Formats: sequence, C-alpha cells, structure tokens
Amino acid sequence: MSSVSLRASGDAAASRLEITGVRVRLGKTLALAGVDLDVAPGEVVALFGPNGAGKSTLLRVAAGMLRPQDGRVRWPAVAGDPRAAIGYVGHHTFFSDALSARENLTFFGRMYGMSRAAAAARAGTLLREEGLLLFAEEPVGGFSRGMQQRLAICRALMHEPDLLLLDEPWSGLDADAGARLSARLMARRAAGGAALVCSHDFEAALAVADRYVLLAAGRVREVGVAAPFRGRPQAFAERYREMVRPRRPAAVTVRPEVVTGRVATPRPVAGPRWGAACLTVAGRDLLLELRGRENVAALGVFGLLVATMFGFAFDPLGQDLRPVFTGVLLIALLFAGLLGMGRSFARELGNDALAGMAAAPCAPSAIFYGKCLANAAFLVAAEVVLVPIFFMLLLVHFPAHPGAFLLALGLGSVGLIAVASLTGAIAAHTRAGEVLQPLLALPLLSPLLVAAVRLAETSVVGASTLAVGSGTPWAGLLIAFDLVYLTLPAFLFDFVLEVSA
Amino acid sequence: MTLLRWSEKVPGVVVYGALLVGLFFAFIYAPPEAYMGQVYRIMYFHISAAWTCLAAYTVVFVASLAYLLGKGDHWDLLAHCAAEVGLFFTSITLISGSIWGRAVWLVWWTWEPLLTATLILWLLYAGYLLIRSAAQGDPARMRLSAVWAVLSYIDVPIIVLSVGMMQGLHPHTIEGFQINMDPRMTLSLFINYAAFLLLALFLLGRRVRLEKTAESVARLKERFRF
Repeated sequence: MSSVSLRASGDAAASRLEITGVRVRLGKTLALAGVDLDVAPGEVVALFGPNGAGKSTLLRVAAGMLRPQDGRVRWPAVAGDPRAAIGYVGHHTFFSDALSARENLTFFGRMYGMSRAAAAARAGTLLREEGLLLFAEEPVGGFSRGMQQRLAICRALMHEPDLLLLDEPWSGLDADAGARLSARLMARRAAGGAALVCSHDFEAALAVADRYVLLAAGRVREVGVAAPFRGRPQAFAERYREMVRPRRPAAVTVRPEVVTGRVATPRPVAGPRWGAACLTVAGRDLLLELRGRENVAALGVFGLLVATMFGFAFDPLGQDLRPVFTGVLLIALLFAGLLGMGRSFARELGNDALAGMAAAPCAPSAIFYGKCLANAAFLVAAEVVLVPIFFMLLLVHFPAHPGAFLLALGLGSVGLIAVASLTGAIAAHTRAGEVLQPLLALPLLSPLLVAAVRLAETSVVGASTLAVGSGTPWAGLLIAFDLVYLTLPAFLFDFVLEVSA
Repeated sequence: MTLLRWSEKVPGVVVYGALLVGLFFAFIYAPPEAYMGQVYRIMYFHISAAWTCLAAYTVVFVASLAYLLGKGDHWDLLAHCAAEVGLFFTSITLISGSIWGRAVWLVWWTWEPLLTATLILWLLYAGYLLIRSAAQGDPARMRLSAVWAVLSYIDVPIIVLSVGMMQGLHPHTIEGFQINMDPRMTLSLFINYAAFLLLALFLLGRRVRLEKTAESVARLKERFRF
C-alpha cells in the first residue's frame, strides 16, 4: 500500500476530505490499491493519471457514491450526511433529456434539501452566470456537449458545496467557459472551498491547483506542489510520463506541503427529509410523463390490445366468459404494468440520472418509493380506463357486489408496483433489460396473480358458484405478499442504486 | 498424463460409491409399491433432487446475504456456484416428476401445485443466472444477482403457500415431519438423499475451484497491467 502524509493530522476538522488506505475492487479488477489522500479547506488538488488509473473511481469514493472494500473515507469538516456538502461532476451529466435546464437544476436543488423557491432562485442565478439563461426553458436533450457540461457544473454548485469533486470538468468547454470554470475554482478557493479535480488538461488544472497527485494502476505515484509547473505544461508532461511508467509498486514521492486554511468546527449540513425526497422524485417522474407520455400510453394501449384480441378469439356473444374474465383482465394489467413501469428506471440511465440521485444526500429508499408513487399514479390512471373497457368488450357485467374484485385489484396493484419497480431497477443495469424484466418479475409475481384472480372471481363469478368466504385466505396472501415486497426494497434498493453510482 | 492427484480423486470416488449404494437401495432393497408397482422407484431420485435443490438455494441465499453485508467477494462466488448446482437438481426434479406423471397420471405435465411451484423455482433461479450473464460489469453482476437471490428465496414460501391453497394430486407420503411409508422405503429415500447431497457438495466444490482458477488467471493478467 502506498502511503502519503503531507500534513500533521492533529486537527480532526482540518480536512474537507481524508482518504486513508482505500482499496476498491470492481469485480475482478483492483481499481484502487490502497490510496491515501487529503484535501484541506481552501485547497484545490489536481488528480492526474493515465486511463484506467482509478481517478474516476477515487472521485466516486470521495463523493460517497461507492463504498471501498478497505480503508476509510472521512469528511471531517461536515457534521451530518457529507453528500450534502459535496458537489460532484462525473462523466455523465445526470440530467433528464426531456426536462428543461431550469427543471433539472431545481430538481437537484430539491434533492439536496433546498426549498422549491430557493432552488428555483439559485438555478436562475447559476444559469445567468453561465450564460444559459436564454436556454433555461429548453429541454436539455437538445443542448450541445459543451452546454450540457456547463449545466452539469451549475448542478454541482446548486447547493453551494464546501467540496467540489470534478471529473474532467474542462472537457467539452469552449475557451470562455473553461476560463470561467477556472475563475470559479480560484474564487471558491479564496473563500475556503476545496476541490479535487481530475483532468488530462495539465495546463488548466495546474493553473488552479495547489497540489497535484499522480495516480497509476490504482496507486498514488507522486504528490507535489503545482506552482513550479504552472504555465509549464511540457515540463510537467515529462515528469508525468516518467512517474506513471509501468513499474513495481514503490514508495510514493512526496514534495513539500502547501499550508492552507483550516476550519475549527465541523459545519452542520442536512439533506432533504425522507418524505420530501420521495415526493420530489415522484413529482419529477410525473413531469417526465407529462412531457413524454410513455408509461400511461404503453399501459393503456397494451391493455386495450389484449381486450380486443381476447374479444376476437373467444366470441363473448357465444359463451360466458365470466370464469376466465378475472384471469384475462389481471394478466393483461400485469403485462401492461410491467411494460410501462419497466421504463421507470431504464430511462434514468441515459445520462446516468440515477447516479446523480445516488450522489444526493437522501435515503435510497426515498428514491425507490418516489418511483413507486409515480408508477402507482400511472397504473391507477390506466386501470380507470382499462377495467370498464374490459367489462364492455368481453360482455361481462360489472359485479353487483364489487368489494372482493376491487380489493383484489387494489392489493394486486400494490404488489405489482413494488415488484415491477424493483425488477425494473435490476433489469435496467443489464443488457436487454426490457426483455429480462418480465422474465424476472413474472415468476416472482406468480403467487400474487393466483391470489388476485381467485379473490376477484368471488365477485365476478358470484357467491352462487363459489363458497362464501372462499376469498378470505387469498386476501390474506395478497396482503402478506404486498407487505414483504414493499418492505424488502427498503433494505435492498441501496445495493441496486450503488451499481448506478 | 494424470490430471488429478490421488487425494483429489478421493471425493469423486466417495460420491460415485454413495450413488451406487443409493441405486442398490432404490432398485433392490426397497420393496415395490402396492399401487404404483416398480414405477414409484423414481421417487428416490425425484424427492432427493427436490430436497437437494432446496438445500442449494439455501446456500445461495445465505451466501448472497453475506456478500451484500460486505463479507467478501468469495461469498458471491459460492452463491453463483450453488445456484448452478441448484438449477441442475431442480431440472432433475422436473424431468423425473414429468416421467413419473406420465406413468401415474398419464400426462407429461399437469398444473399440479408442487410441480408448478418447482417450475417457478426453476424460473426464478434461471433468472439469477440470466442476471449474471446480462449484467454490465463485475460489480453489477455481483450486486444485482445477490439482491435477486434474496428476493427469490423469500418468494419460495409464498409460492408454496399459494399453491398449497389449491387442490393437489401429489401423493401425501410426507406431512410435516411424519413420513407415511414402509420403513425400508424411508431408509432408501434418506440414503439416496445423502448420496445426492454428497454429489451436490462435490459439484459445488469442483465449480468453486474452477472459478477460483479463472480468478487467479485474471489476477495474473492484472499484475502485468503496469
């Protein structure tokens, strides 16, 4: 393990970030092989290294998005969820293409605990500073690469973080925007803000950095002062080539320390309340649905198609369809639900929006249940339209005592939403996820389907055919299923979300 | 050329010996059944395979939970191998059950509760292997499959409960801890179950070893990265 000790660690609250002996294995690859690093208040540290050196992994660890297998990451200057004091810019922008620049920024402000008004005001200020005010109401999907990068920097600055973690921040920026970013970093440094900036642009990074760190093959190769290389990128490039050359792991070269400002007591920070985060995620999904009309349309059209096909195939005029009606209806709703809700997480992967949510200081379960809330709204909207259409097209009378039918529909929908959302999140991280999701969800949902059909048919077929009270055990089974699959994601979704991060 | 040392051959020899003993008890020691005659003997492999797959899935659940709780990547490796072994024994259960069904119920397949539950179990763990093959990158593969293993295992009692509430055709030879069989049949069943468990352990050990060898090769490649 390489070891770097640049300053005395007497003052526990001295650093914005302290990374000690961090090892990260990503599957079979050792991405970080014992890295030590610290960033003080009022300090900018430039992180350099060849492709695959572990720079981005180190930033994700520093952002609290990725848990190291070994070692320790501390943010001594903050009390509370450290993510509330961190602004992160990664390889992806984390934005939803269908939402406007202002909506995206406001959403992230809310996810960091800002009120709606404060987030909107701050978004306006940043958009103006960054010269994007003219495009504030335009969907982000139409932005150029450089504009998206400028907006991503605005996103990282929304909650005025103490520590900025920037992965290739100058990438895609024009000369003016690049200079503006450098000026921002220097101004923040003067105000006591800290930054860890990973870049391949030696000139830009060394111009703003106090120290540099060279990383290669997951190990720190050298830590040094940036000033001697400022304005001399060629000289630094030679040193860089020499230091990152393949070799056996050796002691780290440590150059003189830069003395920077210190904070006496940790600053208290807080993220959004659980319910607020949940509602923010649900609100954003509903807004996305209003723009794209993807989920409800898929749910509705698919359900209608099934009703039509069954109508053709069974000839409802010639035979009584009541014995198979509940099965047909609930299977149609189940497939339609999977089709619509499966997209809930898949559409977040375009710009890695889920990773952006993982970087925010809110409980992963709030994100999951927020998604469930939005999915519930989509499913109820589809059911309100589809259920009467099924009764009409298949010529079955709506039951005179619909209690059991509605109970089956309600309890079945709850279980379906929980399982479809969770399997959607899992399948979204796989190749051909849209094919895989039903393959995963259907076996899991089989007890729910059996119970809902049996309970619903006590209403539709009628008490004359089935024994009175024969639906009670099935209702019990549905409640048990719903409780299990509504509770489990509270513990398991964290692990799924970490895959996005 | 000898590929395996003698000490490495011993577990295999023991397993094959146990399976031969199981065959003796199933076909020679156990008496014919009063109604089904000789065809019932498939039960010794069918039930043994069913119990063995449940044991394998318990290993998958425990190992996946241990992996998620940060106990190390080797738990993921164990879960993966146990899932493959479990799926193999579930397949044996389904095939032997189908053959038995053809002989006794005159159909290759019926939506009988226990058969249906076993098929759903097969689909759940086929899903586990599908996630592993479709996930993008090792961390996603490990985490997502572990989450799925926990979800699937918890679904098993709910499936059993739901199918248990339907009318079944399966012979009620085992109810709770009571076995309604001739003692010679009971002994033959448990000997075959022991042999199947040994076979499962043997296959699991070999599979784990194969994976570890693949990991060693990957580490060697990594050492020469820089």
